[in-house]
Amino acid sequence: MKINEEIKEKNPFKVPEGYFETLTERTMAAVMDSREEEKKDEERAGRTVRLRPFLALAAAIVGFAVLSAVMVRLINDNGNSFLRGSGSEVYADLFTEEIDTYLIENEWSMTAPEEYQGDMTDLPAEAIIDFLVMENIDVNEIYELL
Amino acid sequence: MTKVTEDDIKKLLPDDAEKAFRMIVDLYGSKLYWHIRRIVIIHDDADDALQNTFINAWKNLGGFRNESSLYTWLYSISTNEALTLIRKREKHSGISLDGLEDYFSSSAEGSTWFDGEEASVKLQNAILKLPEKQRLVFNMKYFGDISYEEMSETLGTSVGALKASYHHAVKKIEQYLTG
Repeated sequence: MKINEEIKEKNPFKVPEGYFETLTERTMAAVMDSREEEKKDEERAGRTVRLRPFLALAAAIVGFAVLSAVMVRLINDNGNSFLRGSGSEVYADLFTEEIDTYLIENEWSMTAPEEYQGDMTDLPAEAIIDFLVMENIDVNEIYELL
Repeated sequence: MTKVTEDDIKKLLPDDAEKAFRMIVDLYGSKLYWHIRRIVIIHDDADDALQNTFINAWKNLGGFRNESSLYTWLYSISTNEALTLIRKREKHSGISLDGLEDYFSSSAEGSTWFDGEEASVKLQNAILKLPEKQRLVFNMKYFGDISYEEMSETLGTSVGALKASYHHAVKKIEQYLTG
């Protein structure tokens, strides 16, 4: 049987009643809704950019703490007699105290973004982020610190 | 009342994008719907793909080059949306186009959205049997009356290959209808 124009004219598909009459209105409503969603996404992205200096600060603290822990372990593994008997916990405490002292002296704190007055120029964000990637530090851990 | 043309819309776009876009939906909405429907078959899926087509078109309106055809551009987007949808559908619900022949003949939903004389029903079933690319080419040429050059632009396939594809599709359909 040959395909002919007659079969072409017969449309076997049905549509709900009034579908095409309301198509433009429904479509424009969906398009405008998507525009609103896009605006919200852009606002969210903007907030993330403003938080970056604080993420870098948190990353610096976490990085410092990780480095300290690693150094403690290394020194213990090397059997350093200075540390033998002193316990890695004491040494870790010393490091923590160092961090706290450093923070207090430099008047750093986890404040709300609009109150932070610190100078971040000594801490390039890219270097911190590179360090985080190398150390496999999960960014969610940093968010929890904020 | 004078009919709105694509040129009218292109002239309006820089000044009033929303009004121009509304005119686009008015002008091409039903044509694009039928093109999508023949690919995805099920009405609700066609409606979803059509909405996604227009949403994508709106988002990318800034990138549309005024010298090309608005309809060809929309046609391309709608083809991709329809194909994406059927692949998602196959992946998530296991409904493949092969199974839709039974869907039309046996399900209540099938009879709600699919009805027609025996010849046109048989034709649709024959089309469903074709491989995806051939089915697309056949639908575009036979129902959509799209030129091979426009098809080539949309599908990224040479005109020669498209002509061969259409020729094979027609032969297979005629064999099915005769058998």
